[in-house]
Amino acid sequence: MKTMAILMKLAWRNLWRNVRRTLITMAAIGLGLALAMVSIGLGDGGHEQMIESGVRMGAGHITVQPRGYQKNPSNEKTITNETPVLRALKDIPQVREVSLRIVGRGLISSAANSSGIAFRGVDPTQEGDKSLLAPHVISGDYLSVGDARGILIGEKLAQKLRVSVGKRVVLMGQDASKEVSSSLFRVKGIYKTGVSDLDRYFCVISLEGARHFLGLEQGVTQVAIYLGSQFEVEKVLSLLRSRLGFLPIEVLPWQEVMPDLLRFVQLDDAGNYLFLGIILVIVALGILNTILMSVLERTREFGMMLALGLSPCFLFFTIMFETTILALMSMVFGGGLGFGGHHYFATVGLNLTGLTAERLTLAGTIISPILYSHLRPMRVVGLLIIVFLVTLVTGLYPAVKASRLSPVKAIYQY
Amino acid sequence: MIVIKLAWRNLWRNMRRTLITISAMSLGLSIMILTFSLVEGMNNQMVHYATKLSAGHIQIHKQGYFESKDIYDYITDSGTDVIRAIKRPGLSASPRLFGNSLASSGESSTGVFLWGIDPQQERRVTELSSHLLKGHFLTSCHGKEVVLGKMLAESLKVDIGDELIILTQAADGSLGNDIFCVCGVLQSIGDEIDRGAVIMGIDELRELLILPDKIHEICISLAHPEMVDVVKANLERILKGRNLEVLTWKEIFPQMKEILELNKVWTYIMLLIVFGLASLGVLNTMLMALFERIRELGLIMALGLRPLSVVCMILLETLLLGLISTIFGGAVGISGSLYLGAHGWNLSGISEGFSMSGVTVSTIIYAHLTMEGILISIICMILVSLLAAFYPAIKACRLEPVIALSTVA
Repeated sequence: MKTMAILMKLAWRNLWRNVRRTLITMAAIGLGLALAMVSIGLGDGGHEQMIESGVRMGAGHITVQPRGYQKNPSNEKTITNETPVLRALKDIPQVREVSLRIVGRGLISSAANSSGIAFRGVDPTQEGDKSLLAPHVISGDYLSVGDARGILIGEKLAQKLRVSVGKRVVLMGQDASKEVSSSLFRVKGIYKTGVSDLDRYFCVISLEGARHFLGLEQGVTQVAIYLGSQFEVEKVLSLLRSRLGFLPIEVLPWQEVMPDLLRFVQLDDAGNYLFLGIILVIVALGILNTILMSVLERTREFGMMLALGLSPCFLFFTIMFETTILALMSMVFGGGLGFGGHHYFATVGLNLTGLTAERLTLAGTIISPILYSHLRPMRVVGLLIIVFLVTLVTGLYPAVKASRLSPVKAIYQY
Repeated sequence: MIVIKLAWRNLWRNMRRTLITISAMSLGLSIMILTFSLVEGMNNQMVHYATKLSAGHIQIHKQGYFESKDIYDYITDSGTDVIRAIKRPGLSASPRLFGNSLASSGESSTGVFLWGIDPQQERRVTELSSHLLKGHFLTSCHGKEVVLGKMLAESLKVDIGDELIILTQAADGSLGNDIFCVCGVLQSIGDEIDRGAVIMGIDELRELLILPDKIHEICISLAHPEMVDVVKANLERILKGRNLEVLTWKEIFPQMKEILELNKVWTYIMLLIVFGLASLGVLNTMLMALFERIRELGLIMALGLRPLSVVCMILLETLLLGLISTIFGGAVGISGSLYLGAHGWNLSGISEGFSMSGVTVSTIIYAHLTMEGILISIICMILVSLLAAFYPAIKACRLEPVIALSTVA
């Protein structure tokens, strides 16, 4: 115990012999750590925002659809009775919202022009679907109850078709019996999101209108399930799969419905980790330099201590202790700094609007112009462990070097 | 002169320290050169996909067609007149006709975008014909064959040799339909083509839409794409009064410019971070080098070396560090970039491609080394390290010889 105390005292004093050097090293480690925390926070936060926006525009955190629909989507596949699905969802606390939809694709025509589109038949009172486009309606209104013939189209599509609110359009497509059918709709509203993929391609009609178009009596093609958080997907997914296994349907997480988005997130993560790895190596070289130099300038002193009977093992641990203290202090400093940065970006956000006039899309989802940082505790813990280990590993070489000194030679050195 | 010699010798007094600092700086430099090349390569690939694989460098439409996409906004007489007027070396042009239709494969149906092209002329303008996933490209303006976008083929569940029914509203208001045979599927290019393009011979589409001798677009590619704005101005002058609109690819993909700039901005942020951290290493090294030499500096100053020369000496030491790092880091960075330029960096193990504002980002990135990337990286590294050495240098020149001489190192 006493040796330990001496060891600690020695290490502590050694560290403060050259205050400036220690502070600079701490700054390097701390800054590296803080940068890593902020970049992980912004990366994860950005990805979560993208996933949320993709899920919102797409088919929910979890999608229930007819079996085989993902591989081969066609208008004749439907879930004829959605009641068992709704019943299965009822008592799951994580489920925040459920949207029943009929989705499909077709050709929309006006007197002037025609265009291929994707349509989504929704319940006009469903808040989640409403909140996606209702705020962006620039003329007319969002669909309301009883609008069996109403259609909401994007601004670019309206331009192309040369139609305005109240005008008639014809939707043409394959119905449930594989025949080509067409239905008349009236433009109820025009929206503008600024995302050209949406404004040009995406139309909303009511469930009734969609059923009429496809010649269906009842049923839906998609049940989109929104959860309170994207991290609960797996739990709910396995529960639902076990409950609904007997039905001719498939229950899929967003990762399988939007593989494009998943691929982007994975690739971007890989890029971020590579970058962090590089930062870590550069910081590690700085640490190595400091510790090695501080050891080399004390060669004479170490020789003296060894000659007085200090065991090489003890010397090794003194230097490792020094490194540990340095690492811990830097982690407190860097962690504080990084957390401050994270907190700033989590509340104020990183505003990219200056860089981009139009809204950009990535892997089919809108990139939010303001990024909010989100740090998961597991990530921080992992990062701290890595930084700590890297610091210790860099301290190994100088420590081994010092413990191998030959006292006689060392004493003669200046 | 003596200052240079002093600086050089000082550098090698502690070889290990110098080498470690150099390796940190070289690593930073080589990473930055590589990053610049990879980002440039990625940007080039995206521009390539947007131009040589879809829009060409310049497009000519009837005034208003680009906004409205109205099939009645056509250019008459197959555009021969216009094509003859703009003909010049280094410029190839190809006519295109567009339409919308419902495509049905029996399994499934969807709204699609029809492209009518002349395969012979298209080959001179774009590289569509060699960007096939499977099958073969169209061979003539006639023939009941079509090439499909990748996602479209998947969602319609069709493969080479399968039939596709095209149902469309013709120019006279009648419904036209015909059966085509899928002869090829394109590799991923961008959302719009992948999801909805059906490419067929231009004469077939004219028949289907009842638009004889009409075209909607003249797609132009340039041998020197960097001249695009000059050529556009030229063409506009030539075509004045014909009620035509000349657009460059930058106007056709307005988001492209922002994406390219965004990518650059991230590179510069990374540049700052990497060199900022590397410079902390330089600061530490130079400070240590200063403190172990206080007595010695005091002595040479007492012997008459002026403070300014001391500053020069320390900055020179840093500059030498920077130059040596430039050689090592530059060599690694440049050869790495050249290697990744020739063989590409294959990321398909991690992830397949994704799209950025509608343009596909390929998973094989070919680095493109630019003088700009090399110079910016080197200059930044040297400037940042000199900046870091300023503090030690100022500290050194303020030394009082008498006090310094009595300091015990």
